[in-house]
Amino acid sequence: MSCYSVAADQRARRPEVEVLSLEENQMSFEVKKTDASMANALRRVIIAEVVTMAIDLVTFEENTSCIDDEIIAHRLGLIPIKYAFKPGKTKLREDVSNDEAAAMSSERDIQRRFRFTRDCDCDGYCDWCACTFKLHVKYDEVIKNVPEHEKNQPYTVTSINLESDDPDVFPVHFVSERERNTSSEPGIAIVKLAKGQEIKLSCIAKLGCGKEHAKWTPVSKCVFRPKPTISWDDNAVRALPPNLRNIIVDVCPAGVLGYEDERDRTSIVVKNEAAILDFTKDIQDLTKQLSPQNKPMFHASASTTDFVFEVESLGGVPVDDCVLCGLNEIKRKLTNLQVAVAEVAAEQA
Amino acid sequence: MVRLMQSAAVHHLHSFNQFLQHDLSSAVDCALPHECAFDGCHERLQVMLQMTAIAIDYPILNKDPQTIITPRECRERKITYSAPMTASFKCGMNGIDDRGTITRTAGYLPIMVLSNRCHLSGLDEAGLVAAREECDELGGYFIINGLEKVLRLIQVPMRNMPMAIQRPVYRGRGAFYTQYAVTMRCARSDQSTCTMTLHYLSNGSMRLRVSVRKQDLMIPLVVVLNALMPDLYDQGNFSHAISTGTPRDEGSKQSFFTNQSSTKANPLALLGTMCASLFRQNLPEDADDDVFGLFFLERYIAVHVNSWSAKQDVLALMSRKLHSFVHAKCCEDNMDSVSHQELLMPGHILSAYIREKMEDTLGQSIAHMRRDAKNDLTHSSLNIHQNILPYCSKILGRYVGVVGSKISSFIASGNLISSSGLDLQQTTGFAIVAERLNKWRYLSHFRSVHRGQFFTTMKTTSVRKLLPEAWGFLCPVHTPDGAPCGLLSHISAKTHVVCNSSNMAANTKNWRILLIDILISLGMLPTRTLSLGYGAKNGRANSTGCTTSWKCMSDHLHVCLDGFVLGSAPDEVCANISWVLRRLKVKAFSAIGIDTTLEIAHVKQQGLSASCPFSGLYLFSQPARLVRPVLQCGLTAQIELIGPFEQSTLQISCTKSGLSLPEDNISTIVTETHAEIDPTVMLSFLASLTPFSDFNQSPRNMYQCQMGKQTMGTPSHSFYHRGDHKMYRLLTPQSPLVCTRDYHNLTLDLNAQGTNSIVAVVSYTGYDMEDAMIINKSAFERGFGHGTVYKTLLVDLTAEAERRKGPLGKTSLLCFGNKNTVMKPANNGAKNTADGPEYVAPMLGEDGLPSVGQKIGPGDPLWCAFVENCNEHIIGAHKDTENAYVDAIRFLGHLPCNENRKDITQHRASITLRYPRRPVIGDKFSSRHGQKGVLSVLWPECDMPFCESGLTPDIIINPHAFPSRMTIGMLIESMAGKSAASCGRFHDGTPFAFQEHRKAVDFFGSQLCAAGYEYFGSEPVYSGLSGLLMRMEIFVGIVYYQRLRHMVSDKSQVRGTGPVHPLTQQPVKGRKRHGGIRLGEMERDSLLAHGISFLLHDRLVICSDSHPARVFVDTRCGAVLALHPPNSSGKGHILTLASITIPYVFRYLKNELAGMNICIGLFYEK
Repeated sequence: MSCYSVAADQRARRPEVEVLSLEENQMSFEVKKTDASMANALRRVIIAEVVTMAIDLVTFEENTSCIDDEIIAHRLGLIPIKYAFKPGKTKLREDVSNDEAAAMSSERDIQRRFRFTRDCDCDGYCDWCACTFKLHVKYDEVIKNVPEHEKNQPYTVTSINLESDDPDVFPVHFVSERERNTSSEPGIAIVKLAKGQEIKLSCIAKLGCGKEHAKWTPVSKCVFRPKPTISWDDNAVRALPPNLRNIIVDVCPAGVLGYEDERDRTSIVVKNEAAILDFTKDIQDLTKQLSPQNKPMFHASASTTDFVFEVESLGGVPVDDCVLCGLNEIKRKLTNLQVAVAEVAAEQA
Repeated sequence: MVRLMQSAAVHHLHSFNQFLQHDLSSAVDCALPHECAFDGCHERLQVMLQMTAIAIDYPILNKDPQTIITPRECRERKITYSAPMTASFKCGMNGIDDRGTITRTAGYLPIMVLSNRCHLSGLDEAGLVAAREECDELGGYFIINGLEKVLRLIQVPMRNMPMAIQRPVYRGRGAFYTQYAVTMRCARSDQSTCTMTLHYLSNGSMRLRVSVRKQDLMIPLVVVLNALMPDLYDQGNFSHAISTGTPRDEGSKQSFFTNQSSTKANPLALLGTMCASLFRQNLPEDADDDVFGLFFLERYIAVHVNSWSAKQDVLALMSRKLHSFVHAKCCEDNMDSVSHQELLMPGHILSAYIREKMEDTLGQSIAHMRRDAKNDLTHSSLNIHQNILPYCSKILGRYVGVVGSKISSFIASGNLISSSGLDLQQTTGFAIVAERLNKWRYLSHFRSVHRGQFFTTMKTTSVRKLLPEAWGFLCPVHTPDGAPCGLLSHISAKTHVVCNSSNMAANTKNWRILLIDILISLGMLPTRTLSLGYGAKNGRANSTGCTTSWKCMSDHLHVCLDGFVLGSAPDEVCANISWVLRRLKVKAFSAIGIDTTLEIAHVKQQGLSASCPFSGLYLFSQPARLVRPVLQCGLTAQIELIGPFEQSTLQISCTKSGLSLPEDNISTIVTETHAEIDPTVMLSFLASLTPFSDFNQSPRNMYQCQMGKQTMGTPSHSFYHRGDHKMYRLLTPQSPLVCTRDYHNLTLDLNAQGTNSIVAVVSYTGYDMEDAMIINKSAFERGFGHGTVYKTLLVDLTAEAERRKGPLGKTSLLCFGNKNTVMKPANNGAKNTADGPEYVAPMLGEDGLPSVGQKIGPGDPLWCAFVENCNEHIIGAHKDTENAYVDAIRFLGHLPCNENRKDITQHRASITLRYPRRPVIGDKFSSRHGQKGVLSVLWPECDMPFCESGLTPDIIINPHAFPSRMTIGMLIESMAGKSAASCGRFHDGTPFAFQEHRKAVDFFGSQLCAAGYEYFGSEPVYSGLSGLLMRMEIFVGIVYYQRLRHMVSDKSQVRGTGPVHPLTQQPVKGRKRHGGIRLGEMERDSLLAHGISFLLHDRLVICSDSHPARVFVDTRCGAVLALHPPNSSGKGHILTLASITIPYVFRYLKNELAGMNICIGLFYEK
């Protein structure tokens, strides 16, 4: 049994993560010194197993809009819900054990505040496992506040009309500032109301993860690809006449290849590493033809150990938290496995 | 610009409007008078009744002109949208034609929605929406008991055109009959028709066959001709007229005339004796044979013309054609080809049907009077003599009131109950329900054309053939496969049907005279003084006029206008005439007054052989013809409307530039006279919606036409104001990224029925075998393909009470309600809750109905009614096995014209239930290229393959779907959709837009390349399970997917145990009855072949009608034991009983046989 851990130790990799870019709702990072299975595990976990909150139960009191109850409920469910930890103000779960707390990455982790409803002792739902939202819009009342020229238009009920009873939990109206500035609506549209119509409902948001339902998926995009290793025979490229260099650049779709210096136009570089592997063969074939030695001037191959990730958040969970929660989830799973293996080993011994 | 959508049903509307304005009054004019004679005490009285007018009002409710009723209300209340109809009759006595007018109500006539008598007529979009209709309401249908009914367009033989036919069965009609005949379907001014068939007899004579009240009259042609023109003998020229003048004909001409040597001096009287028995009711009882003969000639011979001389000419033309046909100088006319057909329009059949029903009414009234006259002679004659009008009015009132309901039931059932058959080949299948399953299906109901019910049972397939003559008129793509294939076709998008007899008739009244003047000035020799001949009834013409006409016939072609023989002209002159007329008929010269829809068919003289059609110049101006626009070649390209008969005489090139043949072939180029406007004109509405259909294998486009009609979409925007039995709605409709020009022209985006989905063509999990498809679970959870089914059920308590008559003993009045009347509130007002619940069905409201939005589970009460004055309740349960939500509840008022039911306003209710239908495994989806598949698994997003951009497909289909089906259009749509999504615009997928030198693949490939994708649309894809790059690049693109209405939840059928048939003890069949699925002979064979007999035993015995029985072992009989075991004490023999298991039916069989004194014994061995 002991040799088991020794071998693992010797072969253990020390993966590294390098963040390439981090914006409001998207990030890109590189995972090095690992393999495709680990990278894929991270991708799958971020999509399917990061715990988020979403509306799960809707009680209608009044719905005279033209959209049926179940469709409105479905739309409400898809609105991302954000949990914002406020230091000093947010009351955290007392029952979180130290181990669990260690597993949870940050103060912002929603699981330090909420439990899964299925794990909660309460009857139905309570403040520790759910958050209640209320929505009450009456066309005839809200229309008083809109500008005169819009009076005949139907009123769009959006996510801003949702009122949360917990100040730390609220719906996300836009994924980014840029979207907020370009949008014509003040939030995510739910239903349109015409004259005399009214909608009144309350919703219960609960914890869940993407493999239960897509509404709990925190990201709209999570993808990785192997990092390409690229090498150019710079001398050979330089030796080519300019028009042939242009042909090389044009062999790929726009933006994949380019010149290092637009004015100089002597050395070709890869502008879009993401796509270069698709066109490697084209470039190689072409440069081989152009080369006097009949030798390709370009080599690119997919790395088996380094991967570039791109993650885009829907706004409910900050994009870096998505990744951290994902990593924690893997860690937790591996810990569980380790414990289970140890138990089995102990039983056998 | 008139929207193309609105033009979809315009021929139905115009036809009905024409019926209201013109055909109905013509029908009144054409209606036969009915006469009756009374033997009075002093004098003989002749009473004559004739219809003079029919008036139709606007739809109203309850005979109150103030309460108008709208189509929307009729649909919701399940009543008929109809307007009161009144008929006026003229009453004559003793030869005095007009003793007064009687006006009686003739019931309610169903009114076509959006016609001139509809309240919606002339409303704009906002008005239609305010009337709770669709903003693009088509109209063109009737509402009968809440159902939308369309009168089917039926292909019938072209009117007023003699057609040569050859039928072997004709030989069996009698001695000398041959298979040759010429038939002509003559149309009266009220659009009713009467077919004459001229048979050729091998002895040279000819017989005219006319059907009167479903009875065939066979009259020698010479008798008819003689009757029309008594001094025929003197007209040596006339023999020329009827034969083709070649020596071979001489013999037959001889016999033709010798045959009639037996004719009496008065041919009219002879004719009269032949048909007198058929017209007894219409004419005075003492009328002589001459009168009958005249009556017959006027009403049944060549009814499309009025004058005797014109009738002669028609018969002469027919016999000429028959002679040349018999002598193989012209070919047979193909009755199955569209070029010899027209359509039976709704207005035409209605006017003919109303006329017949009115005539029946008169006949019944006359019969009634005759009975009166017989029974109570003195009294009735006294009565009549004094006040003829009240008497007739009373009798008419007794019969005329039901005409409206007869029309209603005709439209409701599509069954024609007629004494004459209306010159049609079928009596059923005239009406169809316009299902609003989705807009596409709805539209195609108005565009469909049926060949006739008669042909559906025909064994031969020749009628189903797609003939070249149908080019441009009937869509070659849009016909169902299976039983109605080729019989039910659809008219192409640009084709319309002429509905008014002449578009220009209003402007220039005498356009016919103008036309004849033009013809004469161009060199036509007129038949006779034409100005008298056409139109006016001039009775028996003096026949001397015709001598001049047929002189120079041998090389002349005859010139016909709507079956009226105008004259004759040589071939070159005819060519010139048609050239000139063709240029005058286009819109630019409309001021001259030639009808733009005038069909000009110059059938050239191409030599006299059995392969050439009978030559002539035929002009047609009458309604019910198909016409389509083509470009007229000339200095300026004018749009000309051409008909199918005309088309076969023209040279039409497929493209505007004409035929582009190689230069060395230039001598062979046919000089075309016309060009198609667009290559897509041959397609129907639905066929033109398939993008890139020119890339697909043709049957796939046919499948798409069928599947487009079965798709869940947006059938209506007024769901709440409709009470359709079943409606399907897609909750996530999208505008297709790739669609055809006609899609926009038809404004079908208002009723979108599909979703743009990312489709990867890859064999991924094995769940995509055999046309199954994988859907991304997350896409599904975000709403992909979600739909709703609306079902409306009608609760009629009156009918319910009737049905429950047995248990209740008598029909008692039922009322909606839910109060438990056993529990009575105490006098002091405090409720006594101990007695039981307040409501019988606690889930329902006080009115006995659920509340809107309420969830209804299987078996839950849906409505509750109580028997008046007692505490018996009836609860109607939700019968489906699915959850539903109450969408709407309506109380339906009493029916119109039924005053005595006024009190029971709340005895009918309709409940609309909403069934959410999210896609489940087994539901059917399809692309627009005949590629259908069922959902096999919802695959989690994280396990789906992903592209480098992070995109996961919504749908995965198997690559094996393509090689054998060759739906290249779908591949191109996929590329085009991908390019559309990345460029941010909609792409045009109109067929025939790309050519060899401008390939679709290159067009979209270069766009994909510019957007950073690979040229052919494939992408490197990583496996979602391993994260490794797949070895092959995967074709990923965006395809518009439709969800079809076939859903597992409507079809799933499963049972362990359940109801059994009482007689055989075997499981019942039928999904509704929770029955089983038959394991038939072939299934049995396959199980036997596999050798799995135990399974077979389980299926056929244990799960079916396994029955424990006991059998006598020791006795020799081995009989299966009867109910009581036999008493064994008497005999020395010891009875042993063995228990066996047999199918119950075997025991039943044994009992049945025992009834016939046959015993079955079984051998039993341990």
